[in-house]
Amino acid sequence: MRGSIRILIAVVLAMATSLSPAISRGALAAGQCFDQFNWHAVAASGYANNVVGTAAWTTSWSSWSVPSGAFSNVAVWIYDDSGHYLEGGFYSGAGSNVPWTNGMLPYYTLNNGTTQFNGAGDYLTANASTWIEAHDWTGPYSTYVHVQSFYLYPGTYTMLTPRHNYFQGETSNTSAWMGGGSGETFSALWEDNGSSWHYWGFHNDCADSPYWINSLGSDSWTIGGY
Amino acid sequence: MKHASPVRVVIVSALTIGLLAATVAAFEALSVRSDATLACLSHTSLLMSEVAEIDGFAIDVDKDLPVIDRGSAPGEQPPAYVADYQSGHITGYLSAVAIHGPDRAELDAVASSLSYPIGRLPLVPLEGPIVEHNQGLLEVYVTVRAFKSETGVRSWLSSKSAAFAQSHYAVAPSPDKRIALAITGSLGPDDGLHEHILIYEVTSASSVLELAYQGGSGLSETIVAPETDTAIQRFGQACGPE
Repeated sequence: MRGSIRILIAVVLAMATSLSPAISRGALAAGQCFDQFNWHAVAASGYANNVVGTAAWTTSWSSWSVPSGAFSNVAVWIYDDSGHYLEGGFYSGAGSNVPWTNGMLPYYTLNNGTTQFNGAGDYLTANASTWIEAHDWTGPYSTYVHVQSFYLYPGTYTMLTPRHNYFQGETSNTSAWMGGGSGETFSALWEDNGSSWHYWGFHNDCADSPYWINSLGSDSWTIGGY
Repeated sequence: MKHASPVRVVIVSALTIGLLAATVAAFEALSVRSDATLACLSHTSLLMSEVAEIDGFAIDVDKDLPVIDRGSAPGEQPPAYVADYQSGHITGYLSAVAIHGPDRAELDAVASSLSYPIGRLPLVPLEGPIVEHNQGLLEVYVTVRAFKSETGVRSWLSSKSAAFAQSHYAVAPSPDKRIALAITGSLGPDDGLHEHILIYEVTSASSVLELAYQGGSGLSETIVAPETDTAIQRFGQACGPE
């Protein structure tokens, strides 16, 4: 009888396993460093009450590809502990108000990534030194995303304190390149409410295979993979 | 060493068989939904084939969407439309005049000035003289997103509406009752050199059809009405009623 039960259990498990691809991406939750919905390379730093901006120097992609995936992006974030998020960076592929681009466009998201705006017409220069910044503080036009020479203004967005410093590279599909494929290096800073900039003091990293993140120091790292 | 009593064996067997039966039922249910979803997606990926054949459009995007947009942030549960998402497909059509027409050289010059590689297709969204010289339809993107339930559909529409309102696009219910949401705006400054965009969101019980039309300043609901009628009709046939 025990042998029969074991066989039955094995059959059940085998069927459950065979179901996984048909169910949803939720089946891939195990091993994902961030969530089960997209692929990420993440660098998370500290938080403080006087954080008003997070930014990074990088180089825009010299080549990029989203051949069978929906998008690839890199972005910095600031967020509080009450559900307020400002994400700013650049992407290629599927967007929101821009259904599709094969160029590189700046974008921002608010509200847990759900309110997305793509900077239509603001094509980034490829293979160029690039500043990406998410900034939020009181006053008119003080919530913005700055990417290369482009500014996007979401309007007034009230974010509480403390505020976290965070970075994320993201793809929708493992056929999409991350960080230009061969690798993209970031050097990250945060801005205090006295308008002084400071390099990040540390970062905790993770990446979903086949993508990778390699630390280069307390404020810098390289991401890539495809 | 303990021996299992006959009663325990019967109970365990019953539970195991019950689990097996439940798993098989779930498998069958999922298979049906998966097949229906696949049929919906594959059929609607061909929604606009007439555009390509009749009006000189070429496919520039034809991709599955295994996940849905950006929609998650550190430490937060994703919104319902992310968790409820099953699969999707986007098909994009680009006017042949953008690929082979007299303004292609200018499009490539812009791409070169940005150090972009020059490929078979021009940089999209289109901008510059190609938009100025062609006031009608230039790009069409047909996206179908399948959700596990109506919850995902409602969450998607709510999020989409909020995002576009935040972006200063015009969001309104359409006079056409088949269209749940109609969005209009400009892909950049409204200066005649950047495309206008018209987006329709059409729903069925658990799927959303998004029709995004891009073109010059003459783009209007009237111009795209034939394509919209065809798309909505086929979407209804393949993906179920509203």
